[in-house]
Amino acid sequence: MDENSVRTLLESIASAPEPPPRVDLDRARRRGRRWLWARRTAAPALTVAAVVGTLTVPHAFSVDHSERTVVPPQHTSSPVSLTAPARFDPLVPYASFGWLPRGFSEAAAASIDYDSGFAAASDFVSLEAAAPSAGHLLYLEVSSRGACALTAAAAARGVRAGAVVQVTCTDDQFAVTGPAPDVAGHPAVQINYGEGIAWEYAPGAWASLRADITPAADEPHSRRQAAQDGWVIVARSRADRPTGDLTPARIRADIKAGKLIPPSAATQALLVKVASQVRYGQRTPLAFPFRMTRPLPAGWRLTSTSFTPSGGRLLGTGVSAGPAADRDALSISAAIGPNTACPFYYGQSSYVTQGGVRWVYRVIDETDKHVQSLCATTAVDGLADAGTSLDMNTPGSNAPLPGSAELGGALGVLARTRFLGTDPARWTAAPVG
Amino acid sequence: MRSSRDAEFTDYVTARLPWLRRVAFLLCQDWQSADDLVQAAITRLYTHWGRARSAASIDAYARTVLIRAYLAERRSAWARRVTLSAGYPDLPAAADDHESRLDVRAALASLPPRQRATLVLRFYCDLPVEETARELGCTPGTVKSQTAKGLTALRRALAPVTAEGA
Repeated sequence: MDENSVRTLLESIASAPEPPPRVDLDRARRRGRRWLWARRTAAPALTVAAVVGTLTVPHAFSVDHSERTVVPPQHTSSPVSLTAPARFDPLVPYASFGWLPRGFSEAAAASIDYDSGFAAASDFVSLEAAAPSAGHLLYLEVSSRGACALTAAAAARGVRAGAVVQVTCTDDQFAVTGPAPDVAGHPAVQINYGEGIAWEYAPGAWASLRADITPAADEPHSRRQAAQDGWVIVARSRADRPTGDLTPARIRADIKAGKLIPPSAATQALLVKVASQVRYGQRTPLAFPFRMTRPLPAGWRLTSTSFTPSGGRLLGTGVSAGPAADRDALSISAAIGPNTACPFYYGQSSYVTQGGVRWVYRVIDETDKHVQSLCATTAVDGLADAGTSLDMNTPGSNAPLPGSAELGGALGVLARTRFLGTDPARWTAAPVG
Repeated sequence: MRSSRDAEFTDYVTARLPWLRRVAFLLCQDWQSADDLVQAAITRLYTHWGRARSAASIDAYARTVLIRAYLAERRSAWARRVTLSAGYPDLPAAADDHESRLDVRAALASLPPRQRATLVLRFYCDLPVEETARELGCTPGTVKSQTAKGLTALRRALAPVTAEGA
């Protein structure tokens, strides 16, 4: 594992969907003032411990289970018999939600202030929907045919034996932990002790749907409310922390002890309903606000995209490309929204001006790594967070990455990238080449 | 009406709360402890706001407060007791994470607090060795050795997962 991998891993953890904050500014100010007052009045023994360990009172919540229909950008019916492709087109997300419970929307998930889960790659599509008022999230991941190391027969065997079957997909991992009702006639299983379900939507092709509940449900009254609402809740209070690995026996014991609330029939039914109406074979291309006008080097291909749903459109916000040795060697991004600050690292960063915009140009040149990146300090043609990054070396080695020099480094990529303004009507479905 | 001190403090924390929480989450490995840590850190930040706002970088000041609160808490009796009894803090609460994230979190959680803080500062906050050393109150050599040990431990802990029953 090299340093770059650790960066990626830490980023992946830190960008995980986060629950609503329980941090209380008023309380911090009150305690801070008391501490200052005490210090001023010469209370000598006050320590930091006096201000540690505060908790806010969580909000109770409820879920509206009434229905509404999502109108996706393009409808295709969920076929009973479908052949899933072994490779998706990252520029055309293969799947979409067909129905969401009332209060949930994809747009709400996209507007939450953390990295959202809308991504498309050659082997998966991930989407999410949120009911922000309740702090609930739904995650959908649809994998291409053959991307998950699981067969319906193996899943059924595991369920019958009461065993936990660990499943690895190219971008997803889950544990099969029990039975679940069929999803539109396709075999399904419970995953991660009731966190969600997975189903074989086409022969050899799996999808998973998970529900996430705000940790405000830690508190007993919220747990009861959650149970009434039919959601999966896992105990979180310090006293309930596990003392060992989770095993089926441990799970059963925790359920018996009331530390773990298993998924109710209502939860299962809701997840199955959302899953049943997922639409496959979508053909709506993403629209991107930038275009790199030169083709990718030989052996490189576009590997993944990120996007956000908005007003019935799917707006691309980033692309990654690279050769097999480094699938995300190149990234280009820009989006509608407020520009965020570019970090400036002394010793690595400098400023360059191009197209009337000031960019932070950063070169990380270390053993086994040579990365160049550019970050716009202001909006570029009205677009926020414009930037590009390029690996010049094959990760973990000092060998030049074939193709990166041909692109002319990050500056060469920027010189060949056109930003297309904030009107999606002017955007492109071909962001590269 | 809020005092100017309160207004500045509130504006800053409101704007930077997501970042503070993410750093805290990487350190603590669960959101409940992360929020406790952030709560403690911003309370300390409030008491030192005059110094913080005149610092070259409020972010750097806040990060230092957060890291030191974290290390101080890890040294406490409660934390030692929990560390002894909890192989993987908060595992059942990770309903929002994919299994891969769980693996990394488990690997991170297995690191001693200082090693974890070193990796977070070096590779998530992207601090150079010297600045990491200043934040942790140790020498650059210690940062380098903690980094090497942390990377080795992560490498060892993150062995490939093999599918069963497939």
